[in-house]
Amino acid sequence: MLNWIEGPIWVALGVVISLLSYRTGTGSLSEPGPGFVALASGIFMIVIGSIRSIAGRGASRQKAEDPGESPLRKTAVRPSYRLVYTLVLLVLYALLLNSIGYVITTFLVMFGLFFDPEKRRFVVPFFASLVSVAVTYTLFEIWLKTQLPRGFFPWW
Amino acid sequence: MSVLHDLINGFGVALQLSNLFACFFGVLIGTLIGVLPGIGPVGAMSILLPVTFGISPVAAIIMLAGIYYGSMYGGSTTSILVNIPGEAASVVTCIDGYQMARQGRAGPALGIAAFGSFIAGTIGLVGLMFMGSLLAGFAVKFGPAEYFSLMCLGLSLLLYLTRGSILKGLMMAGAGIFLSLIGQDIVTGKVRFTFGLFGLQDGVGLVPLVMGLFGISEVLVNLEEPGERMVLSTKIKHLLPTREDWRIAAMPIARGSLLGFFLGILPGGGAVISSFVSYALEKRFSRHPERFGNGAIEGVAGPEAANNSATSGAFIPLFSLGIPANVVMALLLGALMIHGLQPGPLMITEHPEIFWGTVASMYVGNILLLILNLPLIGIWVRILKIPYKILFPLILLFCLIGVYTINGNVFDIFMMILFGLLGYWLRKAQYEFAPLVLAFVLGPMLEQNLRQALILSDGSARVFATHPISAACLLISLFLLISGVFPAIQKRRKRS
Repeated sequence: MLNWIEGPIWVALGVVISLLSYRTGTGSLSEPGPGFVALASGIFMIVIGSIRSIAGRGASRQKAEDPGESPLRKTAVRPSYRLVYTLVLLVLYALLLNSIGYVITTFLVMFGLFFDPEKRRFVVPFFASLVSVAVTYTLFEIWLKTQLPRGFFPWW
Repeated sequence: MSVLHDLINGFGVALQLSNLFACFFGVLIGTLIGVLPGIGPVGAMSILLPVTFGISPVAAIIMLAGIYYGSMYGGSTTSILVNIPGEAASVVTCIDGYQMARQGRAGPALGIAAFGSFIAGTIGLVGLMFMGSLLAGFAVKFGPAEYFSLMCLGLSLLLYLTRGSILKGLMMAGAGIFLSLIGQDIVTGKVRFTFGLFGLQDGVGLVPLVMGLFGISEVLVNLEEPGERMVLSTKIKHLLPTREDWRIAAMPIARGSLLGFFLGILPGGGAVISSFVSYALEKRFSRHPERFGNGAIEGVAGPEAANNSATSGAFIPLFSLGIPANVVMALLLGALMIHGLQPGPLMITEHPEIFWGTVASMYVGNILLLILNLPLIGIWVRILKIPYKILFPLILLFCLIGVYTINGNVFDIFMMILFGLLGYWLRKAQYEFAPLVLAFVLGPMLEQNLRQALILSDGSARVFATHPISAACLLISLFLLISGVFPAIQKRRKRS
């Protein structure tokens, strides 16, 4: 079922790209505009997506009988708790980095990543995060002279 | 004589302290990456790409190249001792290498892998020296039509040789080209496809894209597959292969070196395919094919030589034509462009220090790798035991810092997370990233040459057919795509 959707998704994407390219201006063959190549890539995706849809239709009928084999079926399975938790931490890092600063944000996020909810130990993640921050701060800020965000602690 | 003179100058560049350090750091990281399953050379190179911004272009290329061929060496260690390939090119080494280790011959297996790689790497470099300049001289005559068609051929070859579905590869290539067009148009200066986001005005960055697709998504997928690695508890002794081992392995090393080098030149060829072809070839040539799979030393020597020689071959189209043969070379191309250099036929004459410095550094790097891989094998084995729950936060941290330090912009972190998530879903749906990244890197050049060719010919598309090199490239591309797509569809139909 999901395998069959793959083709139409690409066709839809191709249509959107083609429309965007048309709006940008495709120009002519003697004077191609900024949307010329994008239009070609959009049309290309429509064509390939259509072939995929036709080819996938037969295959999906067979795979419906054996749903365990569909590669996209794996994506339909609910993502693990650890995966969602890691993604949330990454997004939080991006959101807080400029306001809180590199040192505190990195420490908190690394603590969250090192922390194992099953073992519930705090000492190892604490020191591992501390060492990670110290090493990367020394490497990037002090040696490579990269300007890392200081947040509301200007002395860091 | 000129080649020898250039090579001596190259050694002058490679042996400068900063470049020597870059080479050492590159091969060390490469070996480490090769040893550790879960992060490949592409992921490592993309993570370390921002670190190269602060150093000279030649040191940057030396370091990144070191990571690439270093990972080929390191990959064999995990294949032999753990039966887990550190990276794709070492998959074949698992078959006989692990069996040798189980029979108590881990030492000779690791030894022949290291020596075979060294010999093949050196043979590959000799080929790179002579063929690089030769091809560059020929490519000077290329115009926009030839370049456009050559890039199409490169993409088609990559798609043809891709392991997964060719249709999926084609769609990824289309998406890669579109992503590369986001931002300012090179001809009119008009901003396109940015959806009003200021961060996209300079286009989608190569580093957030590759870090997301290769680094973040790999971590996300691995998070769902917990499992402890078991390291073979055999004592590693007698790393030097016996005279009998050398007698058996000599020809496979020679064949693997030549085969790997020529397959490496082909766009899409590279280390992975050459190692598989070498294994098949050795099995065919062998008087005792039944030994393969049961610890045949030639099953380790041939593929290991082939994958190392292929890394040298892959540099030829990059340096002489400016066209990357595989995704690793696409990253190197991106790195060169970030440093303001445009690889192509004129690069070897205009920036000889880059080409010859890199070639010479690879000789130095091969010797460093031999030193790193044989006496320090115990350290690499111990590193294998680091649990993934310690490794993955560190990989993520380097991705986060690396992507932020490019522009000091949080937007790049969001882009990386977005591509990481996209990469996670694409991996699950069995899409390969190589066509997307190669198309993304080639996209702007492809667009520029296509538009230039059309403007120069006053809108006549016949320009691509009337120029012989261009016509030949397009015909081969078409043949490859048709012969790749149609059997795949017929097979699906038959199956259903």
